[in-house]
Amino acid sequence: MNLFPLFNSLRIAFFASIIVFFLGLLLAYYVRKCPRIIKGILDVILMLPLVLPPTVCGYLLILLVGPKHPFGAFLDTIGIRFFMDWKGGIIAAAFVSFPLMYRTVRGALENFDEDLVFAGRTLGLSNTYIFWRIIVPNIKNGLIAGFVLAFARALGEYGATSMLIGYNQYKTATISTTVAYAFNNNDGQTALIWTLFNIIISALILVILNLYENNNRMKQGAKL
Amino acid sequence: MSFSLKIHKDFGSFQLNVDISSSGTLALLGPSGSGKSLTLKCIAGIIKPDSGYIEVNGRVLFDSEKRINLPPQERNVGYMFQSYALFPNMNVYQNIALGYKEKDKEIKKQKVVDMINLFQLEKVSNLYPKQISGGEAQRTALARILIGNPEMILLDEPFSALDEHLRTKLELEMKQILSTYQGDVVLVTHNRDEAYLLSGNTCIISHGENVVIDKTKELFKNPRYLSAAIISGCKNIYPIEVIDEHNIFITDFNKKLTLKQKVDSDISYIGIRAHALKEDNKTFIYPINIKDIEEEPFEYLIRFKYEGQKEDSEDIYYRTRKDKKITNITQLGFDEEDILLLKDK
Repeated sequence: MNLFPLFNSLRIAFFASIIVFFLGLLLAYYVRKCPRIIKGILDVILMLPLVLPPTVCGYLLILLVGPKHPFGAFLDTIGIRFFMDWKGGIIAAAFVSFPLMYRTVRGALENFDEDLVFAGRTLGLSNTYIFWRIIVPNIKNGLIAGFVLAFARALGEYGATSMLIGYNQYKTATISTTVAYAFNNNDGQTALIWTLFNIIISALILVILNLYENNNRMKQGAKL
Repeated sequence: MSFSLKIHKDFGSFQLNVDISSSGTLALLGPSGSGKSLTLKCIAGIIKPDSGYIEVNGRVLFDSEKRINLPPQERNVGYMFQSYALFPNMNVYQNIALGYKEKDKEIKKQKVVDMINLFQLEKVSNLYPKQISGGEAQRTALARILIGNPEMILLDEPFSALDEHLRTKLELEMKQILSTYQGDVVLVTHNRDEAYLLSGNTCIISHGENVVIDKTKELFKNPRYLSAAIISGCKNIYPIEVIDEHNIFITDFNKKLTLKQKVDSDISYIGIRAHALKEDNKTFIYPINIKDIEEEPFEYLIRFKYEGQKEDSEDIYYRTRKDKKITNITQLGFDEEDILLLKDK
């Protein structure tokens, strides 16, 4: 059996969720500081991928990085190709899963006590130190939850991925595109196997998330 | 050691206009929402005023005309937050160590340990903020500030997060700590007892403005302004008309009083403290009608009106110890020195 789709799905989800992790963290942090109107507009734009149909997302990405469009053509000339290439899967998955990370971090920052930042400043700590050593550790739970959700979403991405990178069973196939391809070609058995694969991986992710949350709840409840 | 500031900031519906010079320990006393904490945040550099200047020991922290606005990191001003703002992801030791800039690890460690001992935090130095008591959290926050040797410390409602029974003990502890501190201290509070206990000078803040600044004891003895009298706890305040230099008319009581002292024409209220009233041997003494008697833990709080007092005016408060008989009070009075003459501000 060709296990390439599993490997490909995992690496796409892995890179996509890493990108989304940092992008979501930084954007959530900076958008929060924007004036109200700009914040409202940015919020809408950044959350759009969550509510747009994945095929629409995929088409938007083709407009951006497709070789027939200016930016994509430019990338082509310097040898970077996302269209019909597994690396495009990272872009598609990151695009679609970004709102999950962004929203979760925004929520965590809303609950973060701003006085800790001011206290850090009056103690002479640099803003970089405050961000990485005080803000980030104290919204850790939100970051992890956002990362796991984004990873799970990236792993299950189908619509935008199939639009942007198509299906080539040795080059671009992911679990979800393999299921669709097998079904369309009346290969019920293959579709079922990959479906089970996907269910197991997704369930595992959710179990890990729940275990982590329970563990944290117990730690916080522990008073000496 | 001294500091002075004159700042203005427009918050839309709220205007902050504060102009203060002081040294030693100053209490900013005022009701919540009066702008005390905002003033403190301006000094620390957390909020930027629209205009004005802030100077500590001759060093300019902010000057809108000279376009100086030092970031909080460079102000060397310690700020203790109402919630103490200890970093939850660091234990007591780490929190305190953060306040100290020193490259040499051995020197730093020694200093942090000294501080922990001084503030009696040995037993909790490995614990996290969630695991320690309110008093320990306060000491940690103070140690974290003082270890950096700031030029000035700002205390924002330092006791409001504590249970009532802990307060007195910690107020005395704080007084002890502050007495060894060289720089200036600004204490923000809405509690007159805290201001009285801890500060040499008190500034009354009301509606975003400083009303009056004076030696604390002097200010409580003679508040001079309406808002100062209210915040100092004066219960009985009535509008008056100044008839001439020695005669005032209390409209609500329908009574004219002749005073020995000169009364300025801009006096528009009088205040009489609830415990100053007595049943006999007073200059101004009148028959009363008791309206209500409330029992407090150690005192009675009696509300009454003078005979002839307007029915729609405020009751007068009389506070007396519980061991006194209160059943047959027929008259209550006050002397001239019990009268606080107040300007409307």
